[in-house]
Amino acid sequence: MLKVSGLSKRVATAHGDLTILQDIGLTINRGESVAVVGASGSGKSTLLGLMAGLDTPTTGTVSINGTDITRLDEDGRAGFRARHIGFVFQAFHLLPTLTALENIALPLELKGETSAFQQAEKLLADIGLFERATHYPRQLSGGEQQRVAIARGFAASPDLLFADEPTGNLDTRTGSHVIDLLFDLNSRSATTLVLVTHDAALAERCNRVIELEAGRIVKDS
Amino acid sequence: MLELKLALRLFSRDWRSGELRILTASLLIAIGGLTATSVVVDRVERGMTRETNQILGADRVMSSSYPLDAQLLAQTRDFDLARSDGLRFSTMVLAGENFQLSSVRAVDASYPLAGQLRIAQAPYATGHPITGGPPPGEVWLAARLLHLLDVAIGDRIGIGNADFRVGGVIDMEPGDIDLIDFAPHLIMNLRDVAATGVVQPGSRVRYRYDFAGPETALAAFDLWSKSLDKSINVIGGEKGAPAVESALGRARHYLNLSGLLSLLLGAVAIAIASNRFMRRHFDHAALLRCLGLRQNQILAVYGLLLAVAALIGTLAGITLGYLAQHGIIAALSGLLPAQLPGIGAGAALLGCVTGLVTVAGFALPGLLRIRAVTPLRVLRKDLAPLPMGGWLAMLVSMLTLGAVMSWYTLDPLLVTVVLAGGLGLTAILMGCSWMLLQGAQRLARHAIIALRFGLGHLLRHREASLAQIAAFSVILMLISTLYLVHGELLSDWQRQLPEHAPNHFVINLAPSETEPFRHFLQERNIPAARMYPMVRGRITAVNGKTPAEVYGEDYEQLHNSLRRELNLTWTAELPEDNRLVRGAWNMRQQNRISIEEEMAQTLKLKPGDTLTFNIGGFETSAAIESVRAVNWDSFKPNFYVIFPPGALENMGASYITSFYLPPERKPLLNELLEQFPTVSVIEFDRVLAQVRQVMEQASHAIQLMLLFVIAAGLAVLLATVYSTLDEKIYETGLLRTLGAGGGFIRACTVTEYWVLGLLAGTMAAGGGEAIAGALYHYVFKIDARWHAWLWFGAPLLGILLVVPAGLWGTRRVTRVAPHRILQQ
Repeated sequence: MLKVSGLSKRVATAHGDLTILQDIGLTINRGESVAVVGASGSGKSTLLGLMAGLDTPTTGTVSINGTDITRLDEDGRAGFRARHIGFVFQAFHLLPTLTALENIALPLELKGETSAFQQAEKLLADIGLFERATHYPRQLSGGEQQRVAIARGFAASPDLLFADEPTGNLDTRTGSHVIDLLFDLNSRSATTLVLVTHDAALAERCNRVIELEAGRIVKDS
Repeated sequence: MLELKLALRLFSRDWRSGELRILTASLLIAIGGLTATSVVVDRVERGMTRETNQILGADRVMSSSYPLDAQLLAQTRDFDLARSDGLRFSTMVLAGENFQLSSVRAVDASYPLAGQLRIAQAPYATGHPITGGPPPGEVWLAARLLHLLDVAIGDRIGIGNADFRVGGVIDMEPGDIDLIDFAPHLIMNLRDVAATGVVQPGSRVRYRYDFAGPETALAAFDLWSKSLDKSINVIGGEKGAPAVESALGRARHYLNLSGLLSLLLGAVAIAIASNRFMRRHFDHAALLRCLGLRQNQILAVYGLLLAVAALIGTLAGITLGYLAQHGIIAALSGLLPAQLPGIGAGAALLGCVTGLVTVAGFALPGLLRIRAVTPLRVLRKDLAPLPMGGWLAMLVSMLTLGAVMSWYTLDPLLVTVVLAGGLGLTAILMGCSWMLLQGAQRLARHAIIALRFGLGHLLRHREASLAQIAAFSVILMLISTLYLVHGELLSDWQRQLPEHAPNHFVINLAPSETEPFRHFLQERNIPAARMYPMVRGRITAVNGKTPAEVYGEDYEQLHNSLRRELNLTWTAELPEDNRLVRGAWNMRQQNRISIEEEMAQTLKLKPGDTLTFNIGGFETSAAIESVRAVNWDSFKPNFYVIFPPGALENMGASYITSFYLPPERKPLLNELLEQFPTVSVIEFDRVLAQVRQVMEQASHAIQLMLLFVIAAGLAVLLATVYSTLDEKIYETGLLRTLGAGGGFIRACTVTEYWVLGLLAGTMAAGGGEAIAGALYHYVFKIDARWHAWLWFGAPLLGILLVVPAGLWGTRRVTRVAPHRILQQ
């Protein structure tokens, strides 16, 4: 499903090159749920960005369903994301000027689905926010926003869903509801789930935990 | 002190991070544009004035019916200006049996102080430049005076008690721009006047004092001359030579307008950039508030930060402005006055102060807003400070702008038209845009996704979209206004002085000679202009009372029409360059007349009043029926007073007409005078050529300013697009994360900016028409016209400018990894 080999990321700084990731190699199988954990600055979010094709590595490859996405150009990767990948972010990243319903319908529309809004309405009902369909993100609480973001992540039935600290901005109780929702939708859609988290409870619910330290994998269990 | 330290630290941080880039770039464009405009306007204006002075024969001319007293003349010495004294009078000139009423000009050795005096050795030949008048005992005659007196070079003529040798023929005479005095000219030495005994107490004499010198001295002279008695007439500088005064005045207005518009463009750029800068610093300000800074300290910190940026932007702007104006003037050196005066320090100072005051006025609303940032924003980002009372902010900015503009142009009427018109129109047009956006929303529901998204982005950011439309339309409106006015001015000048405008007058044509004369011209392929009958008459009474009774003993000083005999004509048709301003044009009743507007105003005459004329000893009275505006710059026969046909026909009229003669056909005049020995030919081809040159240079100057303001407008437009990209870049990054391709993003951007450009262009067309119309009417005094093409042109221009600018501005989004955009 997802194969990462020899992946490194270096960035230039005023004090010379900084290595964020070094020689990462891993394989994630279809339907797996994987938590990437590690201390702040260990390179978790960078790894997630590279695996999702949001950024390009300095060296190495990322293959999803047999396609090496590091060989695609920015437009090619965008098209690939539209077809295969969903996202949930710590900062929600809902479009502030779209309603809850429109935010969920967006990936479906980008994929060219004709019944984008019907499907989005169904998803909105699934997450229990049907009556908030016309509300804008600023009119929703943090938990509600993240639920909408999760629904958006699953909307286009992606093969892979990447979640970056999905509970990072939420209190424990809301976070727990959001995790339930995430795993519930995941089990229903048989999506492969890769999430970056500090949250031990969340990591525990995954099939597999990969731990990073200073840009290297130190544990994979 | 703390505030200053903090401001400098924040400044260096923002500078490194590129946060200040757009603000500094906007300041650079605004102040650079303003400085370059002020310097170019100043130099070109002074250059044109200098050219006009060539026609006038001096930088300033004081004239009076009395010799100026010694004390007053002593005062003029304080200004350290060169002076040339002269006087002008009419007298009979004798040559054997022949005598002719002539206009004599007596000059001293310094004449002319500006321009070229050219004296030839044969009639209608090209003369040689000469400085100083003729030597004592010698006179120079106009070619037609030689003909009228039937004398040649070397012959002697008599003026009063003295005899003079004819030493030359006047080819070009600076200061000879009086198109009302038709008497042939003669120049003599000032020292010979006493010997003639012609000038006696009570003689009709015009004493003329010419001055020339550096601009600073002239400015002081102008200030001093304002306090002079009304009987002393001062011309030159602002009040130019009569023939070019209105053309030059309009050119000045236009140059002022260009400066004003570049100031407005700068204001738009500064307002948008400083607003964006403040908006992006709400988080910093909230944090500083959390850390204990008081509201006023926040105000001081960001005020100082902005002041440092303004100072750097200003200095860089002035440098850029100077370089730009050098480049512009060098590129157009062949088209502008040959010798442009140097750069005046005043213009640079003006550009600098204007720029800084504009920054202060337009950044203030943003500063007051950042002052009001709540510390709670560190916890809740959505807590944006309330916009400071919108009207108050607008009022502050507009008052600042009005004050700066008035100071800049010294032309309150121009400022009022532009500012009031602009504001009113912006309000109306914003309302229209809002409605159009509403309509677009309905259409968007059924559109394809890219179109819907692009439109949707505009609609969801309605406030920002309206602000953007307003900014774009103001920029396009200013460009359109300047373009329209420029076109009207050029075509108006072209109309006023077409290529083959008549450059010779013929007077004293007997009624029986009119047909043979017409035939003479026709045979030689010279198009003849209209012929007007003319008799000479003096006003002897106004509403039955003598002019002295009505206007006091000094009545002759009041207006030309009371000072000398007037050329009176009759016609049933309103002359083509005349415009009726009061009363009706009804020339059927015999005892009716039409008079000229300025004469009516000065002499306080209105329709219904009666004037009495003495024409060759006969008295005739007529009631004023109408008042006409006359274009004295048209170089066509113009009359203060027009009678109905039949009223003067028994008074021994002669005819006047005009025609165009190219320089190479000048010898034809000799043939003409042989065939029609009693007529007089007045040549003003030289003056006309000079006037045309000044007008052409004025045309080039206004074209230059148009190009310059368009360039500044485009720069401001780009800066405006860049300033409004933040949210767009974030949203586009997010869309790309969710899988939107470059084509989709571009389609959305094109849709969005296409609609923005279209709406802004349409509003600019409406606004441009309205402001240009008001300017034509109130400032330039020319007839307004409707420009259908503008309604297509401006929206097209809007689209062509805004869409590429938007695509260029957002190009980074499709190249940079979305991860980096979302992390910002």
